[in-house]
Amino acid sequence: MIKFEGVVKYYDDSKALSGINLEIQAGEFISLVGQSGAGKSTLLKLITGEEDPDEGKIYIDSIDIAHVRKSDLPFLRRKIGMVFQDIKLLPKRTAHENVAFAMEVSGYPKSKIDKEVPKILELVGLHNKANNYPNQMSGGERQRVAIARSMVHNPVLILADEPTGNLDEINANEVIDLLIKINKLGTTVILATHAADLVNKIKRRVITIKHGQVIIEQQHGKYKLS
Amino acid sequence: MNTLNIFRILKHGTLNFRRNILLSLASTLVMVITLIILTVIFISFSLINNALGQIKDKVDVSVYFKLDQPENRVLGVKDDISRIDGVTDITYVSSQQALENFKEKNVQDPDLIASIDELDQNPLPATLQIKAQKLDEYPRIVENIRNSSNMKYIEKINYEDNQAAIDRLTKILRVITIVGVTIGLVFAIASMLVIFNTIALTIFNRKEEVEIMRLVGATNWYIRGPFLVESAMYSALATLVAATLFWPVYTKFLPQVLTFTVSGAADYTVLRFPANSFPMLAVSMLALSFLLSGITTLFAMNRYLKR
Repeated sequence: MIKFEGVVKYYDDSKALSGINLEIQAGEFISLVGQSGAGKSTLLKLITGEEDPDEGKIYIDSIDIAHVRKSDLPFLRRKIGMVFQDIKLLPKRTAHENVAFAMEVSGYPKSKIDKEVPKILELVGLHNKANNYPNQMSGGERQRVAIARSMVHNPVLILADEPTGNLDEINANEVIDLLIKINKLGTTVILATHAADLVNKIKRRVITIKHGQVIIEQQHGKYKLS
Repeated sequence: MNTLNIFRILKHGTLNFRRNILLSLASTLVMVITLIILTVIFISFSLINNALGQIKDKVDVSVYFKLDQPENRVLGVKDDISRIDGVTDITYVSSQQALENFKEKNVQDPDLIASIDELDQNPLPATLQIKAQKLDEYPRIVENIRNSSNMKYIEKINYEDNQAAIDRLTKILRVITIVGVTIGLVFAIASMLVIFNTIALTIFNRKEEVEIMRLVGATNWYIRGPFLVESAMYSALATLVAATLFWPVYTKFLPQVLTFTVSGAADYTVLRFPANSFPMLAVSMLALSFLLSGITTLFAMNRYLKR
């Protein structure tokens, strides 16, 4: 589903990624681990086309992402849900409106939005908080709204960049459980994190990055970076 | 882009305008000032141009014939001159006509008229008054007449008398054109920079919203749309304010100035488009403000809409 072939990425003169070769199959749950600055976020940005590789190729379903036209990128992004550490919800909109917003900007009719948003909010366990504003919810709830928003296009892939970074243990576990649940429904998930206990709990494929290189790959791995 | 998206873009643009009312009003104010400055420059330029145009109309070259030239010869010369490039009009004044004009002009002075009558011969020559399309064509036309065989019938060409005035006027016109265009350009660029800053600030204020729109897969035009609607809204509002301010100028002040500088109200239309028509001015203001804010909005947004 996703293939990295000798991918190199520079930021100015410093090498963020060097010679990444990876293959990710549909339906996998990948934990992408490494310390801050290891290159995890860069790798995710290359998948969404937000950054271009300086060398090598990245394929999503056999499409070379470097050749996707700028005007077609939004349509690619609708196939990829994104979740971030800083959550990125619109503060002046309710949970329902934040999720509906993602559907609105993609041109869905109101009738479909009104039908789908409650279903997605129910999936993330927030149907009773639909009319709450972000400041009326806990960090974990806000992150679950963000996950709900990333689900509206029925994506084939979810990229979660340190989604538990700002959460306490209970909320972090809730978010991870939700990602596992979404993965079981068939969506590929790539979780970038440096939370060892969460990775150990997931017990799925772990890819460890250090200084821009993949140093360990395990099918049912544990967090081994010290 | 479907109708639903256009409707949503319009809705978000209107909502944003209302939600950011202070910033929107600041942008409107900047646009009002820009429109006022540019319109004042335009009206002043039109008025000066208009006044100069009239002075220019009064400039001509007179060709005085030697006395006792038969009328058919004078008319022959007139025909020759009319074939010179750039000549737009020639008025023939016969020596008889010149005498009558003279008497009419000096009707209060019977002694002068009596002394003229005592002469055996009409002392006033036949003249041709020549007008050219442009001021700078006079020297060439005069040169052309001087080098022709007709010069032997001509006593004097008064071009030298007018030359200094014509040269000065040509220079003034050139300077005014350069200064007017330069000032206009400087103000237009300065205004665009101010508008650019205001819009960049608006976008910066909502960069999170723009980022979220991108990450959930909104197309770039869908993201630009509400900002363009917003800038179109304050352009329209600014035009309304500026046009309202210029309404009394157009209905009261300008007609008076024009009647004063121009020899009659009929010449009002001499003032060039669109300064002679208020609706045209308002439409031009609207088009200009749409253009200025549209270009600057797109320009300011580009950095937020990279890949």
